Amino acid sequence: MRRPVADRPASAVIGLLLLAAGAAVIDWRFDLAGVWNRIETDEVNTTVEADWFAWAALAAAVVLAVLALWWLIARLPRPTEGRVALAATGSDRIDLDVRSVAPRLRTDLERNAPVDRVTSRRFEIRGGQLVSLHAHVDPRADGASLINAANAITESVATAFPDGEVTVRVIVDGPKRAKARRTPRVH
Amino acid sequence: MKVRDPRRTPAAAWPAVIAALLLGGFAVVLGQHAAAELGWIGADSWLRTAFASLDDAQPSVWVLIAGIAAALIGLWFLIAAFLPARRSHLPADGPGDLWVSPRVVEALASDAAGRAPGVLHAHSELRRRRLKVKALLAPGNEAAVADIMEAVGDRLDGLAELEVAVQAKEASR
Repeated sequence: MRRPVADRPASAVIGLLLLAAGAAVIDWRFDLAGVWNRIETDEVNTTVEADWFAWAALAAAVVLAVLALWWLIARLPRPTEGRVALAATGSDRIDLDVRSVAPRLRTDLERNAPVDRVTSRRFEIRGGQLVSLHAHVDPRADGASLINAANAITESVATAFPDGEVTVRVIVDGPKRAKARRTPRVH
Repeated sequence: MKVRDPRRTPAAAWPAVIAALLLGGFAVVLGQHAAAELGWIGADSWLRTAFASLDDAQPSVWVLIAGIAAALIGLWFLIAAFLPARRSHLPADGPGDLWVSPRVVEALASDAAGRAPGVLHAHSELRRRRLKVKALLAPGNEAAVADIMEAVGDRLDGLAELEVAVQAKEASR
């Protein structure tokens, strides 16, 4: 899921508005600050009954609906462009489909590191793509073997793409829980 | 080039979804008001009914409950908006871009401690930079603590700079 940059500022603004509305209702009920008594409800009712208010409400409804829809849709994952342009000379240009590289990197990691269930995701970064390899560790592994495998895979990618069109990151998570045994273990 | 560290889901992610739905809900209320006032539907405007109730001396119980809920949700949104997304994995040494989760450190430490001589069972817990290894020792194996420290240190070498503490308990005979 993507994280729109609007999440934080918009959440803060809407949080403040909700807090203010809640505080107004609490003040209405318990008369803590006396703010409610100073509100002129006649003016509010006159405004709501005005002819222009219905059209203004309609326009606001359309704008808010579009904003809400955009905000929800903006977090849906977007497919990452598969191709990156390799260094070109003159009019020749070579595009590489990174989707063809990821399976090889997954196989290499699974073969060289004490991990299993390797998956990959691609992210666009400035000047190329990052292939993020996710794996689950074998609990019998040691730090040195994980580091050596990650170094080897980074080095091989850096050799193949010296200008950094493709980079690789290895993210290792805890071991997958073994499935429950059908028969009890006998000691 | 520098790529962003792996992070947990920000605390503002769910409030943002709920806020978007609230915006949509408010748009529906405004749209219903416009439709009712312009004669497109036969129903009364919800907004006009809500504003008419402002003349009451006190809010109804449901309005009070909704107000308290709005205040609490608003507070949650406000706090979540300012909470940074915490790093989910620890960076390992070396030129490779390797990140390991705290669960990896715990699993490796537990396995290393469990294989040390004289240890019957071991369990590890990582809190921030402090790794706590709890071990159950076979009777008469008090010296196993040093072996556990060495085994855990060797196993995690290069993965993360951690402070390791071993809490050992001897099994009753």
